[in-house]
Amino acid sequence: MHTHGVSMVRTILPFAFLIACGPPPKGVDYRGTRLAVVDMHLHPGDWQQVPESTQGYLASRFPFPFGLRPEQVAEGVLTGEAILDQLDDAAVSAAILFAVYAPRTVGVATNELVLRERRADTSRLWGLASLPVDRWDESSEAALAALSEALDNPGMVGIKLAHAHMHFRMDDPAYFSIYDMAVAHDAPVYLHTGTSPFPGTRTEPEYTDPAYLEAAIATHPRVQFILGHMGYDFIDQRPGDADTAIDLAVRYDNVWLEPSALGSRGSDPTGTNLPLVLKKAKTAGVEARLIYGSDGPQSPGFAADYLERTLTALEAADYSVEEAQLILADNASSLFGIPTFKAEK
Amino acid sequence: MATWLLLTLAAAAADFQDQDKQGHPTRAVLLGGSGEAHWNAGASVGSPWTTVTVQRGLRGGWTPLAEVQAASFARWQPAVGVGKRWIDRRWRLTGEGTVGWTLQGDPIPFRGPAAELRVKGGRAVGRFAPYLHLGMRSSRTEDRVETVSGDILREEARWETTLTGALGTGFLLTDRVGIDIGLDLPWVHMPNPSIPGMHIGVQTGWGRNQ
Ligand SMILES: [Zn+2]
Repeated sequence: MHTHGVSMVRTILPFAFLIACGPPPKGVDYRGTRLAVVDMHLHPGDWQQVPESTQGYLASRFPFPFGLRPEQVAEGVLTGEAILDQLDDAAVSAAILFAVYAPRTVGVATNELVLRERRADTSRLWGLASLPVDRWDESSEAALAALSEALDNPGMVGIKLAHAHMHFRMDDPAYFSIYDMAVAHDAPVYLHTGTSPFPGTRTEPEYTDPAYLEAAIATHPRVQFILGHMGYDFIDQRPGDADTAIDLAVRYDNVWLEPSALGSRGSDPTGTNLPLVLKKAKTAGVEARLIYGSDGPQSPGFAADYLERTLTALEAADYSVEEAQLILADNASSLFGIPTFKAEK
Repeated sequence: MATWLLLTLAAAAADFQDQDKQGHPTRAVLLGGSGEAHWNAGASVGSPWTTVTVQRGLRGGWTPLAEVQAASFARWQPAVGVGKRWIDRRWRLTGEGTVGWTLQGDPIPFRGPAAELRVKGGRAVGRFAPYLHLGMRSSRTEDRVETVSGDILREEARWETTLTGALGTGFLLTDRVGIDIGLDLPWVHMPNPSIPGMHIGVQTGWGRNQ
């Protein structure tokens, strides 16, 4: 019961804070040092574009009573302005917003929507572009042309893919043209790895196990591959293919690891899995290849809560201040070519 | 002037400690248990909870009741039940049990029978009636797993256990009318957090001198 009480207080605190005073100075305290934070994984969106079963799934994770009328909450967290509020609340300097084309599972957030919401503050928000892969035989040319056009916008700093949500195999060479596009635009590629909790997603290893990405990684050494969620098994809530993801980072210099969502209250109820995978990464010597993301906004206060949980886990896994600064902000700045951020006092 | 105010307040306080004022509608609804042959009703509006209760006192502190609770007007909890005053001196402690339904629509559908047990406690402090409610509620629903084409793959039972609670104070306005303000602390889908709510309520009664 004690932890329940704490989680309730933590959920209320952000609201109390919003009412009480302005945003805190950007940055977090880590082992006595102020560090800037960039959250490389946030989803702007349009609730109406989310399939019904996924709406139910998302709503069931909102704190009561928000899940009863989730469209109101969603509109309050999914716009660029709302995301900036979440960042302010979490003392995060900047963020990357994801476009998503997964109409059968998590929904659609177009490249245009990402660029539009980014306008809320172009000095703090950037985007990852994506593309629809349905009926790839006929539509790949048009989809790739649209992706290229999106990447021409300086606000778009990379590509986002999620094989399990978009229903295409990780090792299918028919889609490697997307990585060629990444080379042409010097764009890092973010890939969802591991199973997904969303209804309708593919759960077979060919869609979730990062081992199936090795062919693409090996043949595209100039593309930076960011393995989202580090292969976490969101269905059984265990590290899943984390060892495989870490092994790829050990063997390939162009592989990065992003531990978002896997340490959340809902996905890691005991709070042990995030410190565990961070410890594994450090033991394997790829601690400098981690990059911070939350996978918010999910619900009000999530971005701040996930950051706090990540800081706790980093400390538990004995990361140094220098390593933490790379993970929390500087890796994102160099990888995506965005400005370097400094913590405020 | 100040002396007059103090005397009036003291008189009022003494008056509302009077045994036959213990059956006041505000105490009956908030601390539980109506006086014998009294009818009491209470209604409250708040965020997210809105409630309506009607109850009648019987011999020995037994009090049948009917109530409807609604959260954001999207989750409805109608129920009937009975309360029993256990202690009724300066402090009052009442136990209540209800059976009813939990009804909730999309996107998190829930429809099924529910039962709740709770205790209501508090005391009279002059015209005030500070109170605390603590309870536990269990509801059952059938989850449907459907294919994309709408065929039902399987139906499975799911139980939802909720801790309920409220903390606040009533205030006796007249012999037959009182109001209250309070915090609602229901824990609706554990282990997800729940945001506390607030409400203001009004209580009234009739038939007390039959
Ligand atoms: Zn995501």
